[in-house]
Amino acid sequence: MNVHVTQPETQGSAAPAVDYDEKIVKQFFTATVVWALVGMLAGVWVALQLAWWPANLDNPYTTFGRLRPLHTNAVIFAFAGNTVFLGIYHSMQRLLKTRMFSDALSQFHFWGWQLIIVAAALTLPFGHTQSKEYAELIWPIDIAIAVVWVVFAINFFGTIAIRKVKHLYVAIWFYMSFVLTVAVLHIVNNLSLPVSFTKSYPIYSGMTDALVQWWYGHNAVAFFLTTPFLGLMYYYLPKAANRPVFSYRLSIIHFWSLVFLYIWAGPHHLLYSALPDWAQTVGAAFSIMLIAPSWGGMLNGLLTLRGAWDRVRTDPVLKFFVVAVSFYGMATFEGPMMSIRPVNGLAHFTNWVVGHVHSGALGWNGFMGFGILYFLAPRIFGRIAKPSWVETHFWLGTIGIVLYIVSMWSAGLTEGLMWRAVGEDGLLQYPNFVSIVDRLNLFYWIRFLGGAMYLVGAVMMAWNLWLTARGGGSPDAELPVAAPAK
Amino acid sequence: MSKNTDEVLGHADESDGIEEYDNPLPDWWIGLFFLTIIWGVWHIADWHFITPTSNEAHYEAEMAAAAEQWPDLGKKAERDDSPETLALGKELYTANCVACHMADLSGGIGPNLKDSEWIHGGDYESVVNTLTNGVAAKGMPAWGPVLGPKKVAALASYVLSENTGEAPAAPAEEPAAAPEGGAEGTPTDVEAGPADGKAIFEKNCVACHKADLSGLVGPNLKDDEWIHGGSLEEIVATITNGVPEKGMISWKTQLSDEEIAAVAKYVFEYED
Ligand code: HEC
Ligand code: HEM
Ligand code: HEM
Repeated sequence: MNVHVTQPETQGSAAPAVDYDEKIVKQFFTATVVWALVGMLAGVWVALQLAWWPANLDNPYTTFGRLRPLHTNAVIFAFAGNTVFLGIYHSMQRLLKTRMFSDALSQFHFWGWQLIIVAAALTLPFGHTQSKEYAELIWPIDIAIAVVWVVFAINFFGTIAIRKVKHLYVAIWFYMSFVLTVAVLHIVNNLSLPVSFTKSYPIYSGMTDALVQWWYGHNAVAFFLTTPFLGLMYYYLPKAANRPVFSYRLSIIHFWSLVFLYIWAGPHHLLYSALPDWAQTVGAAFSIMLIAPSWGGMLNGLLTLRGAWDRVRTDPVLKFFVVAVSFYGMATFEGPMMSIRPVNGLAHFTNWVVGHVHSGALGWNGFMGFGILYFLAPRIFGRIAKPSWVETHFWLGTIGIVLYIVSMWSAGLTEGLMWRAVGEDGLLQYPNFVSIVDRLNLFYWIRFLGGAMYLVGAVMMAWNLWLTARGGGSPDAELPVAAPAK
Repeated sequence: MSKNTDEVLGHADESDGIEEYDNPLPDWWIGLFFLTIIWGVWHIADWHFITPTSNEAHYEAEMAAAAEQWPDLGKKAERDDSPETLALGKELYTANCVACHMADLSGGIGPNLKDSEWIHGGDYESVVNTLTNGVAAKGMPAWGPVLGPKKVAALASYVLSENTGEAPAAPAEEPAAAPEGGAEGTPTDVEAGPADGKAIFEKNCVACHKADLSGLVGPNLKDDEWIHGGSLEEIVATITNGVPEKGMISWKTQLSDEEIAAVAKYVFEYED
């Protein structure tokens, strides 16, 4: 009853040869690796500062408050962003059987985006910020982002317009939701009145500002860190496993339910705030309804591997994907639970939220990114310099994530419970805030260790890919990943 | 058992060779989806209409439960000058207040509590209020949530019993000899005079640096780590000028040059 479909690796290129733009793929490939190192190094650095404050080097430019947004911007917009662009420019040309609409626009997009990141890295340490989380960058940079994004959108939709196929594969739908929604989110949340070149005031005030900010913040998670990565999963996972996607029907249903429900869930970041009660309730309800649509993606990924599980044991690319999809499933169960008010009352403001963030970020986004880089390396360079390092990277990363999340859960529960602990006399048991912070130190060190392992893995990857690109290493080493397309 | 047909849709040539099955949605997944939708709708109905549990209602319920469990907590306790209460007050004062108000209530980071001058009122009610709510903007902590009304009452009673109503120290009291040139006015003669460094330290410094110099509010003074320099001259300068932005007092108006030299020498030479 199992109709076994074999897809010759070369099928894609067996079609009438299309002259794909490989240069832009290589460019985004390089940028992804470079920014992964920068962003994760910043993450490990701020993690160290929380465990041992002298690591702030006692000058304003490298203190926690300035490096933390540098970390979040570098990992989200630089690392995750370039990963997505890499995947889109590589896969959409093949899925649509056409070269990109315009090479010039591709180049503008690439260099514009890298310049924006450099501008972020140059302004944040100097304290230039809008003070909106994940939208810290000051207005001139915001305008640059809008311009680059519109150029990207023209190139993206232009390519869809000139496609040589009729059917739009599911990955493309997810990419579309990313391109459209991020544009709307970015522009609406950053509307502000400049008072100088570096300073502006948002046009919203008070609670409205907070609501717009978290409508943006939450959907940055949804449409920057989730839907485009699902698109990548739908292309690279079946490719790497060489198996058909489990269910087309499921992909349609979970796509539409996901994008519809996500937009409403933002208020779960503002529970127990001055936001009207009903809006908080709606945010919580929509978050709960998000479990199944999210798991639809996980299911379609994992069930696609039916019949390929033996290969998961040996192919590190598939290992990265399986762990990524599993952490995605975990984070999207944890998140809805944290949206329930009483649970949020315990979790909010604690390290639990940070743990939740990084099971998504390190597990889902990071491991999808690594898997794609390792999948592409032999296809771009015809080989991989140090195959055994890939396996080592996988284990360092996995153990690092576990240490990170478990320590942050423990820290979050510890502080959440200590803050509210009331003694028999009805008074706070730990009135001295510092005594609670003191208790977290061990957890901060464990998180630092986990983060450092994750970073070491990423450094090994960068080194490996550098050798690969340079032509070093042992040329006849057996590839751990499927042979390159021809 | 499985409803999966595993039949490919057949448009792999339109998706770079990736085939797609069109398997039905797993039953448990559909069940989960409906369950969460029902949960969501029920959550909205329940929170607002069935057992209205608005944030305010939650807050009030919790406060009511607390009021029942600890009926005295919300109330203010009366002034009580009995010896036991004053002893408790003194104990609490020593444990919590000396770092800022000094053991003799003469003031340091926080104001003098002995004199007749009050920023926030010197009657019992006002002192209880100040203690309960603190003055966050000026660095006076709120003690109500920490100590509770009984202990706050004991403290207020103690403070008022110690209040002599003396005239506030006039600015003229500042030693006219305070070296001109402010920060640079470090005494060059650091020979300890007759003043007893240990006694001065114990009277003025232990609240923040502890009697064994191991540090509390202020840093450890017996280790080798010095923020502002560990030579005798540098220690004299730090004591003389203070580090106001971090809470270390400038002692030049309260101690004479000899006393500063003596206490600096005591710190410099201290060994366990
Ligand atoms: C961290 C330093 C600090 C500690 C510890 C502290 N205080 Fe204060 N306190 C201050 C400061 C600063 C002010 C001045 C507030 C102002 O200027 O409004 C103050 C003001 C006061 C006042 C009001 C004085 C007035 O003139 O109205 C009282 C009474 C008082 N403190 C009592 C206490 C007691 C009792 C304790 C111990 C339970 C205590 N303080 C602990 C810093 C402190
Ligand atoms: C080497 C790996 C990493 C380490 C050690 C690390 C460490 C940290 C630390 C210490 C914080 C600050 C937490 C706090 O304020 O208490 C943080 C915040 C954050 N990091 Fe990372 N990080 C890493 C990788 C990543 C990656 C790859 C991503 C995204 C793709 C990411 C996304 C974020 C986000 C979104 C926040 C803000 C969380 C919040 O506001 O709740 N991090 N990280
Ligand atoms: C259905 C899916 C999800 C829901 C309902 C959800 C819900 C939540 C909730 C309730 C919080 C805590 C807000 C607070 O108390 O401060 C939170 C924080 C966060 N989540 Fe999720 N989450 C989901 C999935 C994810 C995924 C997959 C990622 C990462 C890829 C992610 C990234 C984040 C980030 C970055 C924050 C921190 C925001 C901040 O800076 O405060 N979430 N999420």
